[in-house]
Amino acid sequence: MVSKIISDYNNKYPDLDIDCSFHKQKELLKSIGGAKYLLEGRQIPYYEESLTFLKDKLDANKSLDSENLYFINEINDTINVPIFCNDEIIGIAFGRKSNIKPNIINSVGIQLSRFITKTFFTKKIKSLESRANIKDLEFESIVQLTNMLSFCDNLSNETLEYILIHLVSLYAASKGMFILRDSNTNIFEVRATFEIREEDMPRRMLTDNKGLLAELKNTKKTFLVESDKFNLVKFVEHNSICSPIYFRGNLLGCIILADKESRKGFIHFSDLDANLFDSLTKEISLTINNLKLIDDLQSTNNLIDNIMTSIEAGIIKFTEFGEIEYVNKKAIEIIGIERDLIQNQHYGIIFADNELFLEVVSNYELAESDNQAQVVKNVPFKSFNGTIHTLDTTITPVYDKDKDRSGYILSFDDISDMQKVKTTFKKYVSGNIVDEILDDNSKSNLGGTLSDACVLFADIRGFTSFSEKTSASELVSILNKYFTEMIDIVYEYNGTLDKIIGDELMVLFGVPNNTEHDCQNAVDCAIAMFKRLDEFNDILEKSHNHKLMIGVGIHYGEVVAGNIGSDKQMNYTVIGDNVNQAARFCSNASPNEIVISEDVYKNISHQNLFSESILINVKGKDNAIPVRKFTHFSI
Amino acid sequence: MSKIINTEEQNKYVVVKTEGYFNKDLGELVISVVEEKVQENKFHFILDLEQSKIVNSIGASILIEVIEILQDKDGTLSLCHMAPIIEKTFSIMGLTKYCNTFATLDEALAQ
Repeated sequence: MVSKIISDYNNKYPDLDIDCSFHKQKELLKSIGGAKYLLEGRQIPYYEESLTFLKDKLDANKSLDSENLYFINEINDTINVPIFCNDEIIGIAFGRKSNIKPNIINSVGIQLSRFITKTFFTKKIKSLESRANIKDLEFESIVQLTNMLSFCDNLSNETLEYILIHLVSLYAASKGMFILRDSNTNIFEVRATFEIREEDMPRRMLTDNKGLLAELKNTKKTFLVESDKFNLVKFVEHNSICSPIYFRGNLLGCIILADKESRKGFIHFSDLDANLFDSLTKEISLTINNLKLIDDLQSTNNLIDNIMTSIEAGIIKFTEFGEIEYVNKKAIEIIGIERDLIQNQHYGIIFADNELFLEVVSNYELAESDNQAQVVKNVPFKSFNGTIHTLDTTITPVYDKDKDRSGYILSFDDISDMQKVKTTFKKYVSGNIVDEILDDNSKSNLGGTLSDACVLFADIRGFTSFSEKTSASELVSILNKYFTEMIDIVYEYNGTLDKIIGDELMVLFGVPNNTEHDCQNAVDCAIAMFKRLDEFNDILEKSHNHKLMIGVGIHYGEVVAGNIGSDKQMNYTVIGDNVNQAARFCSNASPNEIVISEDVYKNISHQNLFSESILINVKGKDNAIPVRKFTHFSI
Repeated sequence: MSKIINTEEQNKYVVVKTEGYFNKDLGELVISVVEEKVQENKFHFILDLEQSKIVNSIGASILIEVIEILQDKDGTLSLCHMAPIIEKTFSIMGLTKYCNTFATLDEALAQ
């Protein structure tokens, strides 16, 4: 373009012999076809003199008024005008002096100045645009890296490689290395590399006792490293930038980027690069630390989960607002619904169909002042799959680090199987004894203790003759129905069924647990047995034309109560003279009659139901014994 | 290491396949191939970046130079198989405004 402008003028004004030359902006001029006008290599007479004159005139005028800015060289008879680029004289346009066309040379200078300045700014804008694009790219890469770090959920080699590649690209580096410390061994390991040859990989064990890692540990700063300074960075051909990854003063690793590229070749990383890299590695440090904390938390959670899974009790942790925060495996089994459907739900929704269970939790939740553990036993619970459970529950508060209540934990034991065993056991042994043994394991040991007890015997009268007239199967059936009715009454009056001896019942009151009403209970039980027997007889009379009648003997006194038998089989029973005496009273009792001792009589309230004291002789006693009798009159 | 794995002519296009980091070295390899082919009056190029998953700003700048060379000759540069990160980089650098991009080489050849 420069040559076109010159040649256009020369074509138009051939007598002026217009030319130009430049001493500055050589690259710019080369790019716009002005290479041949560069001063170097040309012989331009009086160029320096003209340039000095023009500069002086420019300085004196402080103006770019091109009309006055010219130099007439009288020696060679030329007019010289400056050519500007961005307010600076970069060359001179000159031509033969002419009186006819004095301003033509000026026009050449002005046109060349405008063209070159415009080209200069166009290129500058393009260059700035390119730099802005690169900055934009850097910014975008930082945003992308930061986003990636914020979503990063593991510290796999792939993740670290991804981070490294981003950094290499961002800094236009040629190579990179990511080193992290193994938390178990404390030895540093190369976890990711980019464009590093196998032979350049570190061979020695990496520790932070010496070398680059020691320097990073001590300075805790990003710094520029020349290739030959540390053995670890022998892959660096020009220079590198190293940044530490650390947490609470401990070096966790480092990132090394090497050999920054430019269009013209390798260049050094700048201080600006170091500052930005330092910020980014701090962000990466934070992410790595967070991931390590998450790993630790996960390990702790796994440990807790393992412990909770191994516990045979169901565990539910509620938040302060009653939402289910955690359930262990056993709890899920008992509740009978998937974990995902329970977690984060309010207990009121999950346990809506279990009124008593709901009550246990809600009562505790509402009792804000009650921070003690609360135990509620035998709570019925219907699971989502319809199974009925019996649970022993314990609910305890949970406190946060400020000792504020942050929720509560409900633990529950499924005692359904125990209940079945208990129920079955109670068919063989009196319920009181079963409870006593289950509550206190030592109660299942052989041995006995002296206790005051009221002993009741009830025997069917005339049973032998009845049995002769009745088939064995019918007899067993009738006896079973009779005992079912009688034993129900025994339990109603808190009696302990000791044993059934043929058609005779032996019942204890006051052992294993004594009360103030043992004699009263025994007498009331006997009277109730008569009444129930009346009802039973109504049916029996219709079916077999027969009535059962019983006689009852009751005595109160000291007995030896305990487990009698062997380790393999034992019975809880009572023995002693007073037991025998109760049996003798029973033998003495007529049908529909209760015979009680004076000791029993003294301990009952409705004494008027009994006769005056009478003396009876019983087997094994030399002297007659005073007793009182009650006679039941069947309706 | 970064390199050109194949250069071949298909239809009116010169297809250049690269491998590895698209940096200064690889960019310069590409520009030298383009300059050589331009001498042979080949002005339409397809750059297949399937094996190049990462690029830096210097690599992108060199591609801008390639586009300038081809524009002077009324030629074209098409890009295919660009990884998302490369596509984003080229977009930010303003490069994709001056070249066609395609998902596959077949699509680029069929343009």
